[in-house]
Amino acid sequence: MKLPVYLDFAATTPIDPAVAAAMCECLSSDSALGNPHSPHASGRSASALVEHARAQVADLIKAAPGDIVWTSGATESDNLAIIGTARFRAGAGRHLVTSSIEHPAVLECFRYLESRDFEVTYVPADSQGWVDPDSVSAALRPDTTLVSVMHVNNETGVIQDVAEIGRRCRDHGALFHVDAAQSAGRLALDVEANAIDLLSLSAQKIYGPKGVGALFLNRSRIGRVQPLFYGGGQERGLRPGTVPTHQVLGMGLAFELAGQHLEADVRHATALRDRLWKGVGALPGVLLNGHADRRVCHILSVSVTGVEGESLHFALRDLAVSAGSACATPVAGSAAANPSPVLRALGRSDELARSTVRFSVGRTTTVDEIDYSIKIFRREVERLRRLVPESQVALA
Amino acid sequence: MTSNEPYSGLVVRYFDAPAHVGPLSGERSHVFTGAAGRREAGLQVRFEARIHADRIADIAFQAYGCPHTIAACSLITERLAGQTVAELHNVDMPALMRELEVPVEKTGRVLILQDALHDCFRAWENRRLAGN
Repeated sequence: MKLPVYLDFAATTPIDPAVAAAMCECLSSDSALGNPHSPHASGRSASALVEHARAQVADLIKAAPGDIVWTSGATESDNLAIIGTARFRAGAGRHLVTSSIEHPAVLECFRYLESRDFEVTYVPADSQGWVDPDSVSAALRPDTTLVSVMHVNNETGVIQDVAEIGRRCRDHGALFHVDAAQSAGRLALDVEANAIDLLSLSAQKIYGPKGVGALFLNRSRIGRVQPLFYGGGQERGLRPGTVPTHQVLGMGLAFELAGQHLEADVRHATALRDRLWKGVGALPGVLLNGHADRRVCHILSVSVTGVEGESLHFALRDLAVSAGSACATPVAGSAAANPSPVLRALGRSDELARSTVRFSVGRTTTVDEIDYSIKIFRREVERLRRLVPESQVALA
Repeated sequence: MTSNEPYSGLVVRYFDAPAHVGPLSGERSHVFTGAAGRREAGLQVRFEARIHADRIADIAFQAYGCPHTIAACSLITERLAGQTVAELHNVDMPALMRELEVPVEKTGRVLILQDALHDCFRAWENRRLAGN
């Protein structure tokens, strides 16, 4: 078995071989060498590839291709959606709503906007990591212009009721943004049925290349947002810069394959995740983070009582896993790794937040890898607990 | 230690297979305990030393802490076994930290081990002064 066992698919995924091959062919192909914004034949040829990829991405979320804007990833998409919308609509209102458990790529946008005299309401999640639509509704005001709630939490895997939140935002007149980096390819997405106005997407989370993403922007409802930077007018001026043909081609193909594999991927991931939870959860004092049922197929987050976090993660070094998220993993050797704000919002103590492991499975994960991981996890947790003075393992 | 490795080879060795893990078994009449730290602060350590005729006949540790802490505890107990009880006071912590390549930002944590060792020595000395 190849070590470490890779169980960090929520951080990033290995690129699908077909996607890698298509991208390599694109890089060495004359038909793709042109600037897709050039009017000559070489440019038009590249442009055709870009537009085909745009349609592939749009198809997965049941959007119109013209509503897809290429970006460098979900982080940029979040920034464009949130900051761009807030700035463009500042005349209509300066109140914004989000949840307290969003990805840093969302939360930092709102914190930035607060420094620019916007007012933000952070709706708390309950102890199971669920954001109640009633709480979102209660936060809405006449001057609310934008609400942002992620579809699937990257740390806990909890699925938010974006359809209901979207409906309420639509009724209120506020625009609704969803970070779908963890849900695309794992949950059915329909931007119109769910009343979603802006949706952030990432290629690297579903077997596509890193460094490329997209923002769905409902042009018929929004018109436009303020761009983050300025240049040659590409992507209707919303995101200038030459579109990287090979990158977007890779993303498009990855999204098409994700649509084809969706049912099988979900079935496979669910079975492995449940097997993993059955194995690690059998140890006393291993606590599930997030709602037991409203969980995406591929993420399992557990907090382990009675062991110190840095030691736990080093002891599990034969498994490539995250602490809370890739963005929150303590730097090895650091004396002061910050506990995850998401876990703290769920009511976990700092100690438990540091002793949290996020497993995330994927298309290539095997049963043998899961069984090995269970064995290592149990062995190391029990070993570390034996070292602890007056061990006080809380039984779940 | 290469820039990619988070811990030195010595830390890895003692973390993966720590020796002298407590509690000490057997009779407890000559066992003296020292403890320091708080779990809430991320480090709690306890040393137990069995002392006969001013010699550390046996010593063990228990620790809730990072890999540097566990490795340091194991290395300390390995070196103190068989030494005079005065050595509980004489562990050269800066030298130990250099040996284990402990990052400077962890200095405060590792010094807590010194508090626990001193606490153990005091337990022994208090009984000695009380004439037991």
